[in-house]
Amino acid sequence: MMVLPFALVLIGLLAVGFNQRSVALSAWAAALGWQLWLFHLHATDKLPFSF
Amino acid sequence: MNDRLVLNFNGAGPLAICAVLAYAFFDQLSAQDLPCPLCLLQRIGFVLAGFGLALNLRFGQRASHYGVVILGAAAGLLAAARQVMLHIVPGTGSYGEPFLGLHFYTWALILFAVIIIGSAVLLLLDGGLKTSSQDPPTPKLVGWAALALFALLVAGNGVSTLLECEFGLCPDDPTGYLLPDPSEYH
Repeated sequence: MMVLPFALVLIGLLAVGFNQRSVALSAWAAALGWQLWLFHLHATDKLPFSF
Repeated sequence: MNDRLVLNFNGAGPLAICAVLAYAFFDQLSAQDLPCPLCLLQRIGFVLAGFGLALNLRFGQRASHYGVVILGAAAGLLAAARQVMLHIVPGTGSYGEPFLGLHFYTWALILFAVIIIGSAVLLLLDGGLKTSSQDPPTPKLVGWAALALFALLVAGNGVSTLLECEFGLCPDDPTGYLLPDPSEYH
């Protein structure tokens, strides 16, 4: 799961190389969405604040 | 003046992000300092932000490409801010060794803020958006080299993440690679 954003960006960069801007932006958007989902999964511990 | 500033940013920006990724990778390999899940999310943030600069190199400067940079950096900033807050209270420990007095996640927070502010400033300068045309520009040799280096670092980080986390989520405090080291078979 963690490797997916890197793979998606790599696909996006290939699309950049082949002049496919919309494919590149789609791959980037998918990578961004997946990164945020992974952040949601990993941000579970309570922060050590005690006000 | 404005045009020159924008051109310099688009040329040096991808190389600066490559330098950040390369140093993090070097530290991981040389000091066996395995990245934690939040560290990996910060690396992904740098990659997502760098992607917008790669788009600028290949397709010319557009406002949407700076949007890509800002959103990517904002996603990385979330992870960096979360990690800073996990360790900001005295006595809550830290992760990894400091670099120039600050931990990597603190540096990442600063760099993401700089990237966001820098992109916003460039958007204010109209000169950055003058070069839009129907035919995409062909990057010069330096541009292609920067793109290739960026792609190589993304691929390297992908392989390293695969070795560390396999196909699932990474352990919170990684102690070694989950997939076996290929050199062990020789």
